[in-house]
Amino acid sequence: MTAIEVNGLEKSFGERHVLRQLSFSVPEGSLTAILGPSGSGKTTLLRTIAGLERADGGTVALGGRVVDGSGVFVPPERRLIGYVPQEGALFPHLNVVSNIAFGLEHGRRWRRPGADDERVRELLDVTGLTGLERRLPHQLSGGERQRVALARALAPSSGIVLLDEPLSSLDAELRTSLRLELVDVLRRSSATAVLVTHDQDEALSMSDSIVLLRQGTIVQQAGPVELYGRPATPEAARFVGYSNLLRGRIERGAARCSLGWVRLDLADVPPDGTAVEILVRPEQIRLVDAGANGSAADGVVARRDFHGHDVLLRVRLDGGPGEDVIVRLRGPEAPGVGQHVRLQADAAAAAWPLP
Amino acid sequence: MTNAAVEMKAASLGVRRRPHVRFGRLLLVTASLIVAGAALLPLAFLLLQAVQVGWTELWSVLWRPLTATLLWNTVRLTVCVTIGAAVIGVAAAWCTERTDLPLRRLWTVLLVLPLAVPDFVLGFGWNSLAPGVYGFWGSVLVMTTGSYPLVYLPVAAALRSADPDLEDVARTLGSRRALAFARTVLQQIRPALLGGCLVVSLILLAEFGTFEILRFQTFSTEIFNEFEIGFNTPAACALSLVLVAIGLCLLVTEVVVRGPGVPRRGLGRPPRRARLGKLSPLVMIALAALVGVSIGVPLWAIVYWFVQGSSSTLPATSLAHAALATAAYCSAAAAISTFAAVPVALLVERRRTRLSMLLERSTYIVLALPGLVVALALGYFSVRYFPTLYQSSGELVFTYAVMFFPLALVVMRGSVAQAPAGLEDVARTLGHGRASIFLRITLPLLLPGLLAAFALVFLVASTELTATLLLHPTGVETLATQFWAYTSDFSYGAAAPYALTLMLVAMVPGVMLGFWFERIGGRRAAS
Repeated sequence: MTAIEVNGLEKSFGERHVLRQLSFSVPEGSLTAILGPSGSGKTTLLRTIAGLERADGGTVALGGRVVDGSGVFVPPERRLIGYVPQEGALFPHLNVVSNIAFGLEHGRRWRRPGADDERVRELLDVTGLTGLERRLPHQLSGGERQRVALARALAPSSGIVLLDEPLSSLDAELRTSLRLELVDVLRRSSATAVLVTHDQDEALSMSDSIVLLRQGTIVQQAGPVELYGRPATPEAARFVGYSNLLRGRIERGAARCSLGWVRLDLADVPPDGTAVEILVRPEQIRLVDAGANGSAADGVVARRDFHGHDVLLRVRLDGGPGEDVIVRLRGPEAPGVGQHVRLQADAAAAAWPLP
Repeated sequence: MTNAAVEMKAASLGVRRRPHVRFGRLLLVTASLIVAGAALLPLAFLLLQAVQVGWTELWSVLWRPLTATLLWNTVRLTVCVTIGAAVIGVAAAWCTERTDLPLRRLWTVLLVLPLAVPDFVLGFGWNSLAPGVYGFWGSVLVMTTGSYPLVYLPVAAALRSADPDLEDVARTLGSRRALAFARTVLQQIRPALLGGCLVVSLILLAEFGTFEILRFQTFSTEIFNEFEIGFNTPAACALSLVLVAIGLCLLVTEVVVRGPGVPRRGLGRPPRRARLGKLSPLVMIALAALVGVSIGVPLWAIVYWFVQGSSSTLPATSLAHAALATAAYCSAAAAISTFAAVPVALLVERRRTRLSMLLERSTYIVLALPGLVVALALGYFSVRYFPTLYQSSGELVFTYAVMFFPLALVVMRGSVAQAPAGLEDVARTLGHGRASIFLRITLPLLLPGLLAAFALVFLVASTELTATLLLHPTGVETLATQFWAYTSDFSYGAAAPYALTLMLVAMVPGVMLGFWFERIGGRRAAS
């Protein structure tokens, strides 16, 4: 069942066309990331789903019911979608419990729900905030604030939560740990979540599905494994992960390029003679001995970036048109700058015919 | 809510063509336009008068040696007092905000307190004890010590929220501490400092009582004389138009010098404080002298004349009546201006467009006009369109509200910045309607600012003199007019109790203002 269905969405601010013909859907209970560089329209998309902006065209449907478009507009307070804006936006004059309970006040005006409310207790427990009930927002750490914001969004929600770069204001260490925690909380509360981010690691590691957004249009929507392994366009490949995009020609079912012959690990291989652009991920390239069998290419290490768990080498290929390839190697025994190496590509992840 | 319910809501709401975000904006703009319209009534009156009198007549009034004298007096006074207030205000703010000065909270309240002393009481205090204090330098002394809190307050607030990282970075780049302070912090407090200076200079243009006591001739005193003594409306109008022109120059200068706004950032940590060490007693003496000069002197004079004066009586009834009238008029006026400032502040802070900025700026001009001119203007319109209102309490209250609206606006703008629109967005997604959000989020966040704006307008209105003299309902006197009546007869002993009561009445909002400031500063530094 789809929780959110966006169809042909259009939005402009004056002259600026922010969203163009956006269509995608979010299955119930899943975590979908909207990944894109800044200025790609991510936040506007989220605010339109929440009802804080109204679409100029197209429709937004929640649980199969249209809430925006074709003459209908349901205001945000009737959509009951949890929304966590960038800085959390906790109400500075309310303590943790009152912040979380704010969305539960509906229809029970004579008594505001407090710490004894069952739902509040449950959320405090799920987000690990027990013991901090009476604190005011400025007495909390950055991570705690984001957890309160999430609990507040989950409290009244119809089961849908929208998160706008929830981790961007935190430092790297806290970010990684809170990332896991957020996914955990969302899974446990079986919520449908849409997460906006510009951080591809965040998108790849947290989500079930990624919508890749660029200048207001969708480049590709796919699961993280597929998006990385089978990007739909060179642009998608470039945006997610390191990529070697090489020009070549199909000959006898394989691609011939500056790395030599590269096997195409694809279902549909273009016919022989087609000019193509192929994608080889850095971990699909190996170092081989000078006398090794098979097709290989020689080059010089131009740069070596040590990351601890692996090493990224930039190798300048001999004789070619000055093409560099990036190679990922495990271990500290990788060759240093200036050393001659021989490379072999296992396979290409994708091939696109050139016009 | 069930899906069926959502669907029904959706269907019923489908009729509406636009979301009510637009409706809210329309309401805000309309309310702001009405408020700005009211604030611009005095200007409209002046232009009407000018057209009626004719430009040749106006020109002949202005083309006199007297005008040059007045202009010279007004300009040199404005320059000296504004610079003096800026230096004292910034220095005092730095001492209480960025040094380890002992008893900082007490100093903060004491430094704000001179706001509760009417400038003409301060002038009276000096001049009656030391007759040598008069003329230009006497006026500079009195007005500087009386108006520095208007610079101190915004600058101290800005110092609290200034980003200490910038200062640190400047120091690591090789600047010495003083230079680092000048380059980064001064840059950050610039909008606050300029805003404070603007208010000081505009209020100076309009001040009357102090200069009358200190026998110093400015446009404001001359306008009063032309009107009260000569009943020369054309001359009064012509001189007022010069004040408007000077006020416009000041407003434009402030915008040009301020440049683009410096983005303010929420702080992670409180700024470091400079160690005063051996300088500490010296700084304390200096601050004590400042407080003594601005509060001690008038208090001493009042007590002195009360005890010494041959005319002293304690007219308990009339004192109580005057105090009650003052409190009633001022609280009503303060409530109106504060209320009116909310939509304008929201509009300017949240939808910064050329139009909204122009609208806000235009309301400041009324600060430069003497109370008498504002009263004449509103009297003119009320006689014409609402004759029953003329010289009623309602009209006086409305006049105060128009006169001091810009002060309420200055405070509310700072307060609205503390309640960003993002919070209201979140509240809407949590199922709260417009009214509920206003009551539960916006209002509580604006409340400290509302109280502060109320206190400030109350404080300044309670010392208003010339508009009150013209418009007060028959038989009703305020503390300020009674004080004025007695000092004009040199019955200092009889005047003293009124001045004292006036200061006591003003002390309540003064202290309130000091505490409000302590609180928002504390919260801002912590969050």
